[in-house]
Amino acid sequence: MHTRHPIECIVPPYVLRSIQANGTPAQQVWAMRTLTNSAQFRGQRQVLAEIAPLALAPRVVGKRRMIYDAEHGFILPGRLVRSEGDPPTGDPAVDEAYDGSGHTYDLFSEIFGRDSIDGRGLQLDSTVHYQSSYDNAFWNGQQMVYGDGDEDLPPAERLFNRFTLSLDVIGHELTHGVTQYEARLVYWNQPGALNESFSDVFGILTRQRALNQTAAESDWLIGAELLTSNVNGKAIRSMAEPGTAYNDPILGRDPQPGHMNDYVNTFDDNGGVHINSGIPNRAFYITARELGGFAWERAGQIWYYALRDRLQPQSNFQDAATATYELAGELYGSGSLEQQAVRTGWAEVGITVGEVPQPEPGPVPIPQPVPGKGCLPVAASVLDPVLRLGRRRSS
Amino acid sequence: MRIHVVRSGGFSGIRMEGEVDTGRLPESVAEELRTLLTEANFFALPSDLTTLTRGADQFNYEVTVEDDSGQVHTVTTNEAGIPPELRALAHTVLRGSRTQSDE
Ligand SMILES: [Zn+2]
Repeated sequence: MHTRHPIECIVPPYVLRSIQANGTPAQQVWAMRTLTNSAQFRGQRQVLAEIAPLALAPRVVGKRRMIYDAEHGFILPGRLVRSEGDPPTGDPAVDEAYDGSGHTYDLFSEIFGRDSIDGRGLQLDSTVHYQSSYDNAFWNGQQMVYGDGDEDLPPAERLFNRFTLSLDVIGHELTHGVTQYEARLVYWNQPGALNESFSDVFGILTRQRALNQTAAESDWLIGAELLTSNVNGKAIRSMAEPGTAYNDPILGRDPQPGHMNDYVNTFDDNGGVHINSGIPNRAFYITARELGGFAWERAGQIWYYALRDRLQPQSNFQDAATATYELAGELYGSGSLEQQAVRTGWAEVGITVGEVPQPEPGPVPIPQPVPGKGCLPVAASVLDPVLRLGRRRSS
Repeated sequence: MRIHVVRSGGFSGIRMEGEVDTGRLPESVAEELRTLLTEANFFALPSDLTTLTRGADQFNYEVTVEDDSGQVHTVTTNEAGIPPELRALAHTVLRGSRTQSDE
């Protein structure tokens, strides 16, 4: 078997410094991984010490949270009741919105190096007590909005609690803002279901990180705290087992599919965006379980870069599968455990990605260099990292 | 008069549907609904009141009214486009149907 010459695996320091200075966080992380995974560099602490702090340092302006009270009306944003740095107000909805948007900001900032929704420190506005008996939370294009559920009804008649009660719901809403600034997935059919799925993914990661839970420890439930004991159900959605979250006389049955065979075609719900999101949700869950450990570290990173750098407004499930598979190869190496986990995740929901094409009879194909784990062939490693991990658009 | 409301979308994606016959409601509730329809000028509203907007998890609404003369009108709208009177009407109908379906 051919042994690759060590020189092929080395990215010259000047290239790495250039990536540090000019690269996106994804490129910086890639550069560091290339180093840490390369045998040649193991033990060369001086190099790592030089690279690591720069690669990991998030460019953070800081979080700026503003919580407003709609006082049961529908005028947004309402009356300002808590600003960044203010002490708790004692109103649970206000304080949950404050803490939850903080946890979500921290996930994006500390794990992905992103400064807020727009990547430039956008102020995080949240309104609570929106209307009365309002069983919903939403992102209106500019801010997060939360209803109180059925808190105005006698306890025996309540189905929904206030929507700030689940941390993953707050992470879900804030992530809609991130998606609006990045992939801009249109809110219809498959792109819309992907939009929904990314919100569930970073919503559950916000919760898992706040609770310090591994992929195996998490229940992978979205909105578990929203349903009262009057409802026969455990949550709004289950990322692990879509379709099993609730089955109730009033709310009906959880309609989420977990496989392409059961994809739901409908005009309701913007083409079933909250229904078919079960498919990519489960692909993420399986990927994360395959990898083990903290889901935000590898699976989350791959999904984040797909959202930020690869997907476009009309992207469908197959595009997302291809993007995450390719990113796993670029970040962790072609054929790496990470890339295999991504392939398994999508395969389990009926989406094939990364299969080697069958050779066709004809001219002998030109051999292509195969990058190993954390080690790219010379041409790619020196010249291509910026292109390969390049952002989808130049802004 | 029959009033039929469908609400879909929202964070939960749960479709809620309700219908009331004002002739079978307590007179105070029936009067409230009639007033809301009058104030909304319901039968003169365009059938599509959806406001295109950015954002996510917002409710979509479909409100159909058949009055006692047999006149039928349906208005489709969403969180950003719904007139306040229709919002209140949809809420009353969905809440009323929710408890009715318990029996
Ligand atoms: Zn959503």
